[in-house]
Amino acid sequence: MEDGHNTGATAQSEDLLDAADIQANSLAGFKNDHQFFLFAAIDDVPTAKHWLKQILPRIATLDEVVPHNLEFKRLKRLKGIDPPGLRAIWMNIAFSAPGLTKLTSPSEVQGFSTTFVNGLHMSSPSLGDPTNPTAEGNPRQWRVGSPQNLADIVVIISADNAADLESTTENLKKSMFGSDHTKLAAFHSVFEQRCMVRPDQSGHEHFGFKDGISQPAPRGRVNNAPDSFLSPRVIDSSDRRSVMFAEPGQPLVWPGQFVLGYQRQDSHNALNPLSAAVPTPAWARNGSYVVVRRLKQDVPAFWNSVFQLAADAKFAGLSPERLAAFIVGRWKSGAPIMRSPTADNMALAEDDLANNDFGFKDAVLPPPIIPSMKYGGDHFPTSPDDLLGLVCPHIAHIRKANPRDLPTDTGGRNDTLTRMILRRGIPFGAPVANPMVPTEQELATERGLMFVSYQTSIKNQFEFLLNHWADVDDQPQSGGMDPLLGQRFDSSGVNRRKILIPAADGSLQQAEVDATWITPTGGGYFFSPSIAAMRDRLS
Amino acid sequence: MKLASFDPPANLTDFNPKLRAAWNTYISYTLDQNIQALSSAVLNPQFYNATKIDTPANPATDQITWIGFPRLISLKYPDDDRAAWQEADTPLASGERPQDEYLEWFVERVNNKVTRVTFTCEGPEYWEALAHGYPLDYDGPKDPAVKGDTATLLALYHQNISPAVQLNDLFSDGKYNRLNKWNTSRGAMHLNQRNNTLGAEINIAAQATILRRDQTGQSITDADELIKCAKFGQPGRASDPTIGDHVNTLARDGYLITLQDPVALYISDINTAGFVTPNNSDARQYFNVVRGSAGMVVRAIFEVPASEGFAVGDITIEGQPIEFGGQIAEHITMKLTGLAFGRGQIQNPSQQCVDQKFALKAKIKPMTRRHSG
Repeated sequence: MEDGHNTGATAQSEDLLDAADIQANSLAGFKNDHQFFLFAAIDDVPTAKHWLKQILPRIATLDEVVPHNLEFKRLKRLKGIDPPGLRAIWMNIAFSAPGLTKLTSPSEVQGFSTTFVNGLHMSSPSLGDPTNPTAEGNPRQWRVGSPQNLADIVVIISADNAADLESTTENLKKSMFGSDHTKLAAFHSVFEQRCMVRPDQSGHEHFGFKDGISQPAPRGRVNNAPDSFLSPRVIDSSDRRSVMFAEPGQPLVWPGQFVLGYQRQDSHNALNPLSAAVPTPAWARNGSYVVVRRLKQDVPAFWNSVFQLAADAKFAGLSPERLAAFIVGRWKSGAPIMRSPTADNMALAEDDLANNDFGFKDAVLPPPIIPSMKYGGDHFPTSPDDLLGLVCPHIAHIRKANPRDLPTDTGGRNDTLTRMILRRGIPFGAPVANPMVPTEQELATERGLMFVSYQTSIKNQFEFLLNHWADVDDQPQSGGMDPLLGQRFDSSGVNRRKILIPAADGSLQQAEVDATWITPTGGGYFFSPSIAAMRDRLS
Repeated sequence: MKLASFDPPANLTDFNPKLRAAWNTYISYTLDQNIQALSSAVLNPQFYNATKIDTPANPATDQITWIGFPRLISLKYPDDDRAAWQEADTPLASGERPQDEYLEWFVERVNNKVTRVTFTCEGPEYWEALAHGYPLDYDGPKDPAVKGDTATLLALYHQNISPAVQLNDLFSDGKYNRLNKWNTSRGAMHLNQRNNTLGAEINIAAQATILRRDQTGQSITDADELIKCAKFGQPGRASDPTIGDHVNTLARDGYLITLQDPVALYISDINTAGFVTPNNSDARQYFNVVRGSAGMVVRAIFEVPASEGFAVGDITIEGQPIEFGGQIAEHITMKLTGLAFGRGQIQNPSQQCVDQKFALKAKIKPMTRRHSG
C-alpha cells in the first residue's frame, strides 16, 4: 500500500460526534436566508450568567440542525426549489477572550490559543489591513472589534423568514438588555448587523458571484449508525476518491480541524488522522474558534476596475465578465472556469455534483456516483491540467484560497486540507442593481459580507490563508496577490495589487489594480463553546 | 536556440573570464551527469542541457516558490513558535546552520537587541570556484589555465563580512573551508548547511522528471507521495517536495524541462504584512538587496537606519518583537525557475518507486539532500 491511498477510512474510524453538545453553525451550518448578528458587552456578570443558563435550551445543536439540513437538501433536489414548508429558527453563541475572562478568570482564558486571546484587532496588520489609524479598514475605525468597542459575546440568530427573525431578535434583545430601566441589564449592545441572502440573486455575494460552493466536508458520524455521516458520501465505492471526497471535489476533512477534541488532519496522509488533541482548557472540547469579519464591498469600484481592465489593449478581446471570472476563478453563476474556460455555463453551475469537481494541477475525470442518487451523469467538459495558470490564473481567488491538488510551500494536497475552514458568511445590505450606474441611494448604503469561519486554529487556518497565500505575490504560486482578499497598502494609502492574468492570445500579462474593493469594518475572534461548557463553566 | 553559456548566479560579476568559462563548464557537466543518469532509467530523458538542445522562443516558465524558514523545524514545534525560531537560529557545534530551505541568515545584536539580519542563498560551489577555479567536488574536465581568484574572494569577504578577514581564515589544509569562522560564528557569506547546494537543486529537478506509479499501477501525482516514492529529498521540507512536484507535473504533461539560466536559488520576496514599526513606517524599506538584482536576489540585509531612532528588535511581527532571524525568514519567499517546452512530445512510461536513491544507483556523485539531524 502506498501512503494516502487504499487503506480507506472506515465508518468505524470516523469520530462519533457529540451532536447534542456541539453548536450547529460550525459543522452543519445555518442555511437560512435571514440572519442577525448581535455583538454585546457584559455589564453584570451574575445577570449574564443567569441569562446564559436561561437561553441554553434555545441554542441549536448538531442533532437538531443536521437532520433539518439533510431533509431540506433532499426536498430541494427532488423539487428544484427551496421547500416552502420547512421553516426553522436557530441561535448560536460565541464569546471573545475578554468575554470568557469575565465569565471565568484570566488564568483560565490563558489556556486558549494566543491568537484568540490577543484578538482580531491585534492580528489586523498581519492580515494586510491598513496600519494607518485613520484609514477606514484600520481597527480604530471599526464598528465593532476595535480596542474601544470589543464585544464580549456574539449571538447569531438565523431564520427562514424575516418575520421569524424580527420577533426572535426582539425577544432576545429584551432578555439581554432589559425591557425597561428598572432592572439591571446583563449586557449592552456594541453593534448589530442584519444580514440576508440577496433577494435578487440567492446565494450570490454583492459583486454578483455565487458564493459558498466549495466547502470542506467534515468527517464524523452524528449517531451510532455506521452510515450516519455528517457529510453523506455520494461517490461510488469502486472509485478510490470515495474515501477522500464526500461529493465530487468536496474533500473529507477530519472534524478536529473544526471542533476541538476530535481526530485531526495529518498534513501527509488524508486517511490516517492525528489523534484528538486534549483541548486547553479541557472544557473547550466540542467548541470551535470563530472568526467574524464585517467586510464592506464597494461594488461599483469592483466593476469599474474590471471594465478598466477590459479597456486595456493588453486584454483586447476579453469581456469584462471573463476578466472578472479570472479574478474569482468562477463565473458569476458559480461555474468554475477550469471546466468552462471561455463562457459561463448555467447548467454546470446548477449541477452540485459537477460544479466543484476540478483540480488545478492534473486533469480530473468525473467519478461514478452511487445509484441511489439517480444522477444523470457529469457530461460537462472536464478540467485540464493547468499548473502554469493559463486556464485559471494563479491569482484567482478560489485558487489562492484553496490550491486543491497543487503543491504548496507547506506540502501537498494533504497539507492544504489542514488549512481549510468552514465558511458561514452571509451578505448584508441591499444589492446594487447596475454596478456601472449606481443610484445615489445605492451609493449611500453599505453592503458587504459578514464573513464567518469556524476552525480549531485561527493562526494555522484562517490567518494562514490570508497572510501566507492571499496577501503574498508568490504563494501558493507566483503571479500576484489574491486581488479580492489580498491587501497591501503603500505609503500613500493605496491598495496596490499586481496580478498576472491570461490575455486573449493565451500569454500571461500583468495588470495593476489600485481600487479597494473590500474593506474590513469590524469583527472579532470568538470561541463557540459546547452546551456542557456553557452550562457547567460559563453560566 | 541554444544557450551560449551558463552565467554565474544572478549574473554576478565577480568572476574573471576564465572563471566564467569554468562555471559554464561546471553547470553544463553537472546537468549532463544528471541527464546521463536519467538515461539508465528512461528512454527519453525529459531533463535537458540548454547549451546543447535548442530552447524555442517563449518557453513555458514555472516559478517554483517556498518559504525560507525550515519547515521541518516548524513541524517539530507546532505550538511553540519561539522554540522553533530559537532552534533555527542556533548553529550546530560545527558551525553549520540548521537552515535547510536554501536560505540562511546571520543575526547581529547590540545590547541583546537585534540590529541586523543578513540573508544569503548563494551556493557554496560559487565560492569554491572563486577560491580554486572549480567547485571542490567537481570531477569533470578542467582547463588547467583556470586558477582561483583569491584576491576577489578576500575582497568580497571584506566587503560583506568584515575588514578583519584574513585569507588564511578561509582555507583549511589548502582547501576553501565552507565552515570557516567568517561563514559560521562571525557571519554568513554563503549557504553552509550541508544540503543547501546548487548540485542538490539540479539533482532534485532532474530526478523529479521521472514519472512514478504506486503498487496499484496508479500514477503518483501528489507532492508528498512523489517524494516518498522517488526519494529525491525529504518529505516535510518546504523546498524539496515543491520543486519535485512542479517538475514532475511538467514531466507528466510531456514537456522537456530545464532550469532557467542563471541556474541558482533566489530570494523572491519578503512579505512585511504584520510587521509593525514604532513610527508606523513600511518595514519593507528596511530589507535591502546587497548582491543580485530585482528578480535575482541572492543576498539581502534587514536593518533599520540609525536615523530612524529604533532597531530591528523594536519591530514587531504579529505582535512579537523581533528576537530571531527566523521570525523574518518566515516571511521570505524563495524561488527557482523551471523552463519547459514541447508539451505532449514525450510520454515516458512511469517507474516503480525506488528503494535507494536513484542518484546512487546511477553511480553519479550523490547530491541528494540528507537530513542534517
